[in-house]
Amino acid sequence: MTCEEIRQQIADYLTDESPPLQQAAVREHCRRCAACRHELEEITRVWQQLGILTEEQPGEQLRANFYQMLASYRAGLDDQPTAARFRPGDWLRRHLWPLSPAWQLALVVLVLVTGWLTRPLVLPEGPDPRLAEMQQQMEQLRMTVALSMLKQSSATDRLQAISWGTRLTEPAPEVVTALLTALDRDPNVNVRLAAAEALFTFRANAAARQGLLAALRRQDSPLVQLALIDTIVRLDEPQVPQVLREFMQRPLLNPAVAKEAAKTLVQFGEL
Amino acid sequence: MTLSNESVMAMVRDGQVEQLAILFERYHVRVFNFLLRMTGDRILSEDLTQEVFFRMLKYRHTYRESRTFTTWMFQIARNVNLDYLRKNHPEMAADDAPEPVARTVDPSDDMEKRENVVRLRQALARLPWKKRELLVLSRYHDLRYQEIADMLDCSVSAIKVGVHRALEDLRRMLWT
Repeated sequence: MTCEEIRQQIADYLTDESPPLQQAAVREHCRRCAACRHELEEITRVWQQLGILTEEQPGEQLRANFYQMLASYRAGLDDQPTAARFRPGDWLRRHLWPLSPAWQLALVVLVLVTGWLTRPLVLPEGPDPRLAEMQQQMEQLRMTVALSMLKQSSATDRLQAISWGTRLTEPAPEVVTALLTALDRDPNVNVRLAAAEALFTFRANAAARQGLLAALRRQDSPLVQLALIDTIVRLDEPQVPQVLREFMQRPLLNPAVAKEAAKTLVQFGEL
Repeated sequence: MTLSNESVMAMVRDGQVEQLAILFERYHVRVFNFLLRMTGDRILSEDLTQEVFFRMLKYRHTYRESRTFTTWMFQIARNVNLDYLRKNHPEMAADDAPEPVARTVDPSDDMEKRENVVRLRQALARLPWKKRELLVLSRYHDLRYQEIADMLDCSVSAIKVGVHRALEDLRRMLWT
């Protein structure tokens, strides 16, 4: 091969895309040709240098936003009319709705009178709408206070905030995000442990579940690692063995944590 | 047994849109890093990553299982990035796209590594957009030259030449 041809092969050489014979030809040529050897060494050096830019993690808000978007999209699909879907209104109109306007009026009157007479039986003690509104306001207030307290400098306040957060019946995406951020970054181990437990109580929420699974690889505290292993096992997610296998590849893993992870994998029939 | 990306995307295409969560968990970090290396802006890259997954839903009916999922995904990511540039910098052709913004480095790294990271990011940012894209796709995302060629609709040899030239440019910026 000529020097020009060798230089065209360098991109292949770097990514191992060329067959072994071609790679050997490049090496052999470079052994004899100082200019091409220099070129190969320099380009390889740049290629390796690019490796120092390591992968970065996006913020947890991205996950929360994605699941919110997915839920909205799903809801939008459910609202779309489809030809195949059975619609009770159509069926009733086609089969029971009389053609004559007089009979239509009679039917409407009959339905209204029957509805009025049977109302106490169907709705004996309906929920007070004012009470529902108050409950909703309380929920909103609790959320606002919890989110605000999570930003306090005192660990006790942040623990209190998490405790309040767990009392929410349905967490808003920003609550899940705040808890995931606390689990990832709070300097206090107890706050991180409380955040993990709170997220577990919201395990019906997909972002909370996936966030717990992703959190294990970012934790450095053995105590939180142990708690997370215990927590994710209870999530009943199929990715758990994979998450644990990846986690066990970490260098300098605490022996007690490694043992617990291995024991858990045995439970999954993985070791 | 783990489902292949292609099977999962076929399920999404056929109406099980919630399965997109599987692909999100597998790939959102990679998409984010592709966009981060192209734009240099974390917040913008998070927004664009969200847009990539939204487009996967919106255009799910265009997905064909014969096509590797990752190639399709990076094609969408690339289009999202290009659309952003066209909308926000209409005066610029793709080749002259603005340089990624400068970013801070991890303070826990030692001084020499930090300097190298800054120098490399600056050099990458000065590469023309298309060359930067070729390097990012081939160096960081394990895409084969054939896949990149399919994505960019050009020949494999054009990609190889492009990667080589991009590395040459980068070498000049870093060491001369």
